[in-house]
Amino acid sequence: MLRKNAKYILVVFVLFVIIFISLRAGDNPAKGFVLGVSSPFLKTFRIFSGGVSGFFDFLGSIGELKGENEKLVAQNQSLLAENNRLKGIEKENQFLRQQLDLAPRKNFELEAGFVIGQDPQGFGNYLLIDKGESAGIKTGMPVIVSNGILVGRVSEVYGSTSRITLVTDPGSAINAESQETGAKGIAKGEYGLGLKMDMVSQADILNEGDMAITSGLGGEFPRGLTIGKIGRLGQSADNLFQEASVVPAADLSSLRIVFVIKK
Amino acid sequence: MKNFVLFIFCVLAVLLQLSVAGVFFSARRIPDLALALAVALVVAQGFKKSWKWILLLGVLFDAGAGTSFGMATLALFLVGWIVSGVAKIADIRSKKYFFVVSLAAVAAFSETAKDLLLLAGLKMRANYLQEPLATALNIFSLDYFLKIAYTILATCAVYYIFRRVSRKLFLEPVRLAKKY
Repeated sequence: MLRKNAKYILVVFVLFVIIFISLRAGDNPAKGFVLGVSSPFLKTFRIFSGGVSGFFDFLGSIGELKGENEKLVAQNQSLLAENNRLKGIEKENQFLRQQLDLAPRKNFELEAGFVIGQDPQGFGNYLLIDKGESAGIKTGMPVIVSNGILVGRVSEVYGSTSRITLVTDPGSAINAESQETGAKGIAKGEYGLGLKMDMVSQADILNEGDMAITSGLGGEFPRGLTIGKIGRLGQSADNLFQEASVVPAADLSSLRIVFVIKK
Repeated sequence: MKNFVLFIFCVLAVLLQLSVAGVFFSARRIPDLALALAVALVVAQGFKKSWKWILLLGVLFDAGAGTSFGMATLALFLVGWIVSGVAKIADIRSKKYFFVVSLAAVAAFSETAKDLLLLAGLKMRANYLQEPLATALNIFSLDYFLKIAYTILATCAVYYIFRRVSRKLFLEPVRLAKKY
């Protein structure tokens, strides 16, 4: 029995050794190599599947288009009015950003990356993008979508690909604050379901519906990146701190292009 | 020829799971195509002929997975080995519906076993690196139920395709050669 299975037992032993070596080595050349080779295929498959998915979405929505069109015309008129109002607010915003020392978004050195893959097991929340070391990406860099919404940070870098750990990953913790009241806390991932902002002092004011932004504490993320909207408020188990659920501002399940903040 | 076809099967399964599946399924419901292929291979041709392909599947899968290199390979290999113990299923192939039900049961068992093995691996890694375990597996959730259901469907589909392809490419030429 043992002799019959000796080959398989040896394979299991070798795999244990590989896992042990992999645990000790921070950078994993084997992963980098396989990802480097498969990256163009992943990208092609992703683009093609995005097209197919879009086509089916379009077919499914034909019936709703008429009603949606009428709604959009009405919405367009109100948006025109609002646009005029926002032009004034934009000037005010620029002034306030200078005063509050918020990082102006246009000053970031961004590297655009195409999403080519996702967590295949549903254990964590991460993405693979088609930019890596060769594009100057480094571990820990923040990742946003075009309008300054934080979606995660670079957790692993290979030659031509990188792994982005999303803000909803249970291992993710971001120094955050309420944009409206300045209440500071830590936004932690909640197993892919959203985020929880905790460690908020009882003395601070936290309101449902406020926006959670990065506070810039610790220097990991620049200040002022949008994290999400503060939802239901609560108390920590020991009643020492306030906590609140945070709904991510971006739909993390349908990201196609993300931007890595290099500086 | 057979090796080439199996290689393409392995590469396609992993590429589709890593890249395409996320577009059509939500993150926690992605069917495990690599496992579906591993189970289909073991049921169709036995572990003895499949273990090298399972290793290849695992290595490709490991590259894209967030786990340490080798963990998914080990989980797939062990599951394939366990499934081979239940390979008596092959003897009841003539009873079509019973076979499909058995294949579905094997796929469901394999998926749960693989995920539990991976979770155990992640726990060991977290202990070793003295980090908090940044993942959770709720096997009694709707997401997990749907993941299993999709994996069962994928296993049946992959098994059917593999049997068709192997009959067309591997058996018919042999039959023709014998005839002439």
